[in-house]
Amino acid sequence: MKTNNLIFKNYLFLLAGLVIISCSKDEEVVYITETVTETVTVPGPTVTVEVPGPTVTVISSIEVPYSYEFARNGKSTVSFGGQTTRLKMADELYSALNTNTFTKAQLLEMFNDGTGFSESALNTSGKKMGNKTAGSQYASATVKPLFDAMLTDFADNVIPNWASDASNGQAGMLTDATRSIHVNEKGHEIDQTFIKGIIGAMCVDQIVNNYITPYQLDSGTRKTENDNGTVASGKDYTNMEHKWDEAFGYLYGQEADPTRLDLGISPTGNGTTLNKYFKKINASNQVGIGITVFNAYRRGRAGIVARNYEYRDEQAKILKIELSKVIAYKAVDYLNSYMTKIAAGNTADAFHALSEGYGFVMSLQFTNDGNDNPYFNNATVNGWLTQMDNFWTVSNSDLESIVSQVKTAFGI
Amino acid sequence: MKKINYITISLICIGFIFSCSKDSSDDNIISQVQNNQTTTTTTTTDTSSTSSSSSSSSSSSSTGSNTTQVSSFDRGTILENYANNIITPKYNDFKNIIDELKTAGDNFAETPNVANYDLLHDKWVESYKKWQYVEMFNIGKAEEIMFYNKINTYPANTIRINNNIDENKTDLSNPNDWPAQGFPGIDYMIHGIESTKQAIIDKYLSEDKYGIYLKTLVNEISTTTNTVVVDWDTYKASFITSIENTATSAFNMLTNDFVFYFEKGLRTNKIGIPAGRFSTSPLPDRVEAYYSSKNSFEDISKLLALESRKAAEDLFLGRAPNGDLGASYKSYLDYLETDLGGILVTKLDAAKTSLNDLEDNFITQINTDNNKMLLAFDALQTIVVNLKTDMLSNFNIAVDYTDADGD
Repeated sequence: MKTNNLIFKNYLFLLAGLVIISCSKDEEVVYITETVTETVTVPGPTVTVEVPGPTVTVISSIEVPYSYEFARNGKSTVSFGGQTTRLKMADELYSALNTNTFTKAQLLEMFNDGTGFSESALNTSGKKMGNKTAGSQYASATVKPLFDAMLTDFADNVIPNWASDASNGQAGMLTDATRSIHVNEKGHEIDQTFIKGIIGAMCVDQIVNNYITPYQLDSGTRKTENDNGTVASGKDYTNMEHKWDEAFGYLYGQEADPTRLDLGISPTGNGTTLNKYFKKINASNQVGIGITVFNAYRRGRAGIVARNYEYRDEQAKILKIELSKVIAYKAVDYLNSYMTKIAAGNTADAFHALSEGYGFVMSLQFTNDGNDNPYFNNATVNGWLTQMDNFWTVSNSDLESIVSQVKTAFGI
Repeated sequence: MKKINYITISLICIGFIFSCSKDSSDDNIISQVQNNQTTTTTTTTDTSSTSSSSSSSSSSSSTGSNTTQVSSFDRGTILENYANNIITPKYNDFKNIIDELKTAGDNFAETPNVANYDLLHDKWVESYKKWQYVEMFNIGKAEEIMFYNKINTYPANTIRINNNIDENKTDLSNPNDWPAQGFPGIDYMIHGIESTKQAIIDKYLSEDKYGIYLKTLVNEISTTTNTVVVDWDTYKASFITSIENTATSAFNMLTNDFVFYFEKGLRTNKIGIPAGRFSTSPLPDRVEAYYSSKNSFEDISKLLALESRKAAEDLFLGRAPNGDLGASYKSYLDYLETDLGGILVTKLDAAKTSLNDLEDNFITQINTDNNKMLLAFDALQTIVVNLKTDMLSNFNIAVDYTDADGD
């Protein structure tokens, strides 16, 4: 018995040695100018047996570059062009919803076919927003048609009443001392409900419920390929690396220089989607969220390079929770903002805020609490959207209840 | 003996540490090591030329509980139960009804009249229902001859079928002919070439070519079924013992087939595609058994979806035709002390409720209230996530198919 135990111990030490050697041998990260060591203790995959065995410590080293730059054989492995493309499409579609010059067919074409944009590169990209809207494994299939319906409603009802006076049950223009907006018969300003809904249904859903989950990262043979450094056909990256980069792209895809060292401290807020509000949260609601998120992105990516998937998944968990909070903060802010503005008698400004709030509430079902559950599911969110449905008759007490539930669930 | 155990366990440890633990097995027993945690120290090296302010290095630690438990589950008991109490009886059931379908098809082709027509229609419905219990077994000969592609590729390609009819084509081995045969092909031949029963019978009376192609279809379905079922008799023994954890073992392949079937055969094909989940708008002409519903012969799309769901549930629970439960994925999950088995049972039941909530005629359902179809999709999708991500990782089985992501 004792002898066996000893043999077993030797096996484990041998194993620990192998891991150290294999990890240090495969470092391929460049861009290193200075090395700082930080020690993070994580639960390991090591295993003990029926006889209480020794606790084994496996040391592995992960090189994390300070900027989001990774390379293989001297060539960058970072790529997220498809995400930048979709974010630009969202911007153009948002602009289109601020004019009365597009037809229903044109709006639906932009959304679902990925063509009909003024920037010609978008039209030939082969990318579409529609198939990435509520497209993750957890998303309800009932949501995507709601976005189509918004575009249809805008073309069928808002545009024909562009100069009419809006009232309860009547689409048209609504003006107060602060602004003038175009709404449907329920008071929804559709450019706002649409684009704020897209922040959750496309940007956040694709990041937290798709690209950084094992479902996507480890799909098929991706783990084995990454373990072996096997790159995707004709590319410099492994498929797993690329999936993580695509998650990066849905947040940072419109940064002029996504490789800058201070990307974490000062996101530009470029575009009309997630980064825009991420910047605002970083400047007010939660100062420092920018660094937290940026660190998790580069560390998780470095974890993939080092083939340390537990470390990768810990970083993914940070991203899931933090990016979900962007949605929560804005849902709360805009519902509160509506109540302040309506009390001040500024109906147009209030409906504008509530339209943004409506989109962010819709987005709440695409959040992820770190354990792959949304903070609020599709049914709960639908219940709230029903309460909010007619802006002309919505009750403050319903909105206050939503605000309170969101704040409690997110701890904000 | 003890020493051998240690070596086995050590080999398993290697598998775990290298995160590609696909080959940990011995001859008959797969050992599962659970709930073990030890501490790993990961040294994270941040590299920078500037800004120490952005290196807010977090330090966290977590101590493993060092609980120790070694357990073994004989996967062979699952395959044995599946082979003897599910696959064999379902194959035999299917073969018997296909024999009857062939006879009915031949009789109608020889003597097209209302009585023969009605009998053929009934046999088509009965056999289509029983097919739902067979489609998922893409194993052995079935996999080799592309059984499920030949029997149930839909929507039917009517241009191809009409050409085949005109050419009196009898060789349907080209994969391009998959959507021109099987149940969707027969659906078109007996419910789709005209829109009423009498008009269809009249076509068979007026020109022989329809009867000839119909006979070709029932003959083809009968021949392929026979090939698969006969081969199963000899394949079965080696199937039951093929339990090692490799990409090509029967256990791993069947498990992947099951998950694949649930995702594609049931969720995507029967509900998702016609409901427009993967397209810009709904596509009601993609429902299973389309012509039977379209021309008001019999609305069986929902019935087939319900049978398919039950077939998946039977396999998951290891439920024999008499209702007895045997070793199964469910009992394996229970053994691994995960609550996943119970969750899946609840969700499979919820999926039944959701499907039952649909109209018998899916075309009508899609055109009047497609949201219900999408809710049924959701009810199936949540099961797909549990099967594909959670169950397979509990069994330590790699998914052998990848979704095209589009990026």
